[in-house]
Amino acid sequence: MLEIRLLGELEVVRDGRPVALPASRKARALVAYLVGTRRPQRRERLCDLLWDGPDDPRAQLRWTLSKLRPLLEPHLVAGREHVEIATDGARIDLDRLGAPGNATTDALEECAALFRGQFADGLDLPACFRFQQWCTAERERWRQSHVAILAELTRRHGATERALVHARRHTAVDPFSDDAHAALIRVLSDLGQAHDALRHYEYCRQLFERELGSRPGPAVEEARRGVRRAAPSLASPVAPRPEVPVALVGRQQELARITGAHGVVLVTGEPGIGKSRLLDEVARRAPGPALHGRAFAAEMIRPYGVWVDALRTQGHELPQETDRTRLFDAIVARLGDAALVTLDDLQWMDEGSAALLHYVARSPRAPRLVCAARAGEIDDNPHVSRVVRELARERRLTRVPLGPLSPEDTVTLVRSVFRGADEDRVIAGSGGNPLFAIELSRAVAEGAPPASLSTLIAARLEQIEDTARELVSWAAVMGRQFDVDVLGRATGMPAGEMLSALERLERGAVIRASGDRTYDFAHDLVRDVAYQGISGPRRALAHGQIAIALQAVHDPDSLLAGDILHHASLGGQLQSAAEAAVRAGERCLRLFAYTEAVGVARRGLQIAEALAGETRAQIEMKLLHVVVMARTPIRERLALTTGLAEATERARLAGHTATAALGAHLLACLAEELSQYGQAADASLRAAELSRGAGGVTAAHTIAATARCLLYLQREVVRAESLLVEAQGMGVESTELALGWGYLHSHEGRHAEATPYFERAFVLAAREQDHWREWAALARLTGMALEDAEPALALRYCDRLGAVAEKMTGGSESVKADMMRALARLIAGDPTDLEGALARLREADSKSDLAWALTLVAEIELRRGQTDAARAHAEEALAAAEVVGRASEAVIADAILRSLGAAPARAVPTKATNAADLTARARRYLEKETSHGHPGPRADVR
Amino acid sequence: MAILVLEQTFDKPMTADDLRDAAKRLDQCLVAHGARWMRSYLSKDRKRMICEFEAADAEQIRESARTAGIPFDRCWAADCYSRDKPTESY
Repeated sequence: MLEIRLLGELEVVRDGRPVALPASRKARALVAYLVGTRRPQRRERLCDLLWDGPDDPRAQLRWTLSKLRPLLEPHLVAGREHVEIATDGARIDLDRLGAPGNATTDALEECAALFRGQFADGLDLPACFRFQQWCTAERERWRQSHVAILAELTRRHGATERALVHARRHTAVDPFSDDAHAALIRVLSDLGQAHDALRHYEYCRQLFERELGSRPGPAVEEARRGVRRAAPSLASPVAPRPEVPVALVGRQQELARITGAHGVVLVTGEPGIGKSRLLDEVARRAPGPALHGRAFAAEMIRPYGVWVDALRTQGHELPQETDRTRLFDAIVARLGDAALVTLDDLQWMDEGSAALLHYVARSPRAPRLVCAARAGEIDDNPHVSRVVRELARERRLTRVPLGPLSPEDTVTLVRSVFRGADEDRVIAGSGGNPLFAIELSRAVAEGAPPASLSTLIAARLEQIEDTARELVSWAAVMGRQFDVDVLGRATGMPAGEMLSALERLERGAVIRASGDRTYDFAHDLVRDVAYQGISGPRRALAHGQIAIALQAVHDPDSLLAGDILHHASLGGQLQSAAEAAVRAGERCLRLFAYTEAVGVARRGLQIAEALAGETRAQIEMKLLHVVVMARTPIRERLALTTGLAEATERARLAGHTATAALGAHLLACLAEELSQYGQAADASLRAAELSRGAGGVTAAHTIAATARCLLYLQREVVRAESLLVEAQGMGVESTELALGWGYLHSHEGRHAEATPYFERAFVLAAREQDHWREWAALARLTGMALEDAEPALALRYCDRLGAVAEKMTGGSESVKADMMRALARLIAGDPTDLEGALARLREADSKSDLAWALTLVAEIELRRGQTDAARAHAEEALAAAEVVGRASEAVIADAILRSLGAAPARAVPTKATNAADLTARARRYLEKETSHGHPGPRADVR
Repeated sequence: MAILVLEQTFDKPMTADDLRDAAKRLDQCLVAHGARWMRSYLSKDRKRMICEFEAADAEQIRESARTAGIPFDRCWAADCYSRDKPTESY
């Protein structure tokens, strides 16, 4: 018989024995979701919910299901499309809750007992926004149910100890309910505990004021007035707690292994087993300075977080560099004289830190690396598990698993905490887990029954008095580490009160000072228990307050943006969260943490879905900006950018010009990237197609440029023409468009039509100081003049050409200008400079220009009867044309050679099998060829 | 296909981003010509670069660089003599 319990931490019990669930939070979340929704779910939906990311979500789902199947047999049904957990024949705690009004008191007690905590306690996945939303909604639903049950039970039990238990629970679960507090005050008063009743009233009043900014309602005031005065009871003094021992107990073997190991050391073990303590000891024994860093829960966005901590140990900051490799080199240099770097909680490391870890591990001059991680949770983190595997493969990794302490060591440890502890009970109960042993021995010394580690911690936290207890809750919401200033601002607590409360918590070994203005929780688990002990609504409020407090801190480098994103999204402040996502994403880009950047942007986009209007459009566009600029493989990012074209169009139509312009720019960048991703000839066409979606200026430019390029190369002319028409239709004038039309007309031999376009192109290019395009326009004007045998016109153009060529460095422009001049003189009858110009053109290695010039020369020489020269030049023209694939020149040269009776040359290059790709001039030669005549004088050139 | 060498000097050291952007623009044009980039030598002070391409002639590289808006000092066709091919000689 399988039993699944969701009211509290997820538990699965089979035939009375607990089933060990996988450590992966997502695996447990999957179970919770399937049982909670009680419906078959599509695989896509599950992937969307929990594994929305670049690493093959379906494979991760399959892997998780394979791990869960043996545990949940035969209830886990995974078909090709759907997955469900069939609950017939299984006991689900959710099913056993009934309506409170009609049930017997005993039944109600049973129901109340089912609530071990919040629904799916501890299964928070803030990075999976949709799951988190569903979970929050479910928690609220079951919380209401719980509240109703408790209220009823309190009422039924009247003025008894039993009622008190339920009343207290009620105020914890429903902290902002007047009735809950009123009921508790009444019960306390009825039991004669007037002092406690009044103390609770005070607590309630402060709570409401601090968190809601208002006073408690009339019900509470009435209850207070009804408190019967009795003799004040003596408050029992709180015994000071002893400190955790400083000397390391046991672990001598492991220490020896670590000191003797080479390469990276990875210490693994369950929570509480003493990994961090061991790292501390290793650092203490290091022969030189030791740096320390720790990764925080995956929800926080701190690119290279662990390494920032490590550098800060010695007062260094992250160096600024121009790219990732140099950044890594600079960091290794700064790690310089440290003997050791310890890194804790590797399972929460981000991609950038993992890559850096690998880099440092392979650097010869780097310090030793000793790391710790929770066994099993590394699997949840693909970046870290990959680095670990590769280090192992390179034989640079030594694993040191930490098992339970031996009974003797446990005794030593426990004795140092509390004399007279019942050692056997502690050894048996704790199973050799040091944290558990310490907590257990404390509890046993006070006569409390042994229980699970979290229960022990929870019990200890509950006994902390009010202000300090408040502070613990706030601190737990802030995270494992918290800053005193931000805490003060968020809680609104007066400084003196807060500092004395912090002192008390320190003495009680709940928190630890870890820097000037920061504290740590003594252990992860303490924080987790404290966090889980806070009701949903309070948590959301606290997260919200902290987000506001963080936003008030001066933060020019957006270091806090990641934290703000985390707290604001959990606090329901969606716009702040989305804006923080933009800043955090941009910061990640600056640090070349590209994977992080895309992850943050993805989260931001999910959150932004809940916003509206221009704000949403602006934020989404900025997040897409981060996605487009991040240099991870384009395939992975494409899914996020599918809406980009539409979003740009929408922004344009709505008149949000800045947003639309950014969108157009992004589309152009994307098109450029994709054009490398695709293949050769139609890369430009692909770019043009992509930017078409954007509308507006960029598209017109891109399409015109594409057309111009094709016409210049005399390829796909028909398509180029249609692109020109399209660009023209967009009504945006550009140099490229003018050049394009010029080339098209010139290609078709319509020189008179082409001329004004080239002149216009020249003017536009000159305006932008675009010398290359000035040259392009002038060069073709000159060429047309030469083809039309108009030397005077050509020479005038040549002067202008010369002027532009002088402004351009490095290229062949002057040589080409000289060539044109020599050609003009040749046409006018003066061949003096010809061979010199040809020689210089040959040297410049510009074969297409050479081929064109030589065909012109050969034509002229043929007309003048200089057959030998004509033949030589035509042969050279043909050879050059073939090398660069200039079909038109090849056709002309070939035709000239045939007319001279030279042996039929090899086949004319068939690159332009399309006749439309041949220039009008070349086509005329072909037509004349078919009539077997000499090419006549060029009379029909307009 | 010939070997082409492109020489560039920069007033300020080129950042990796600039190089990457320039390479993208250039590639688009090269591809249209049927040419391709082979390798580049960037000086340690990042102010000088020599790039090797495979193309039909030098003008294809020059044109691509011009269209992509990339300034250069000169471009020339070359024969390659290297340790890997000892049979070739000057």
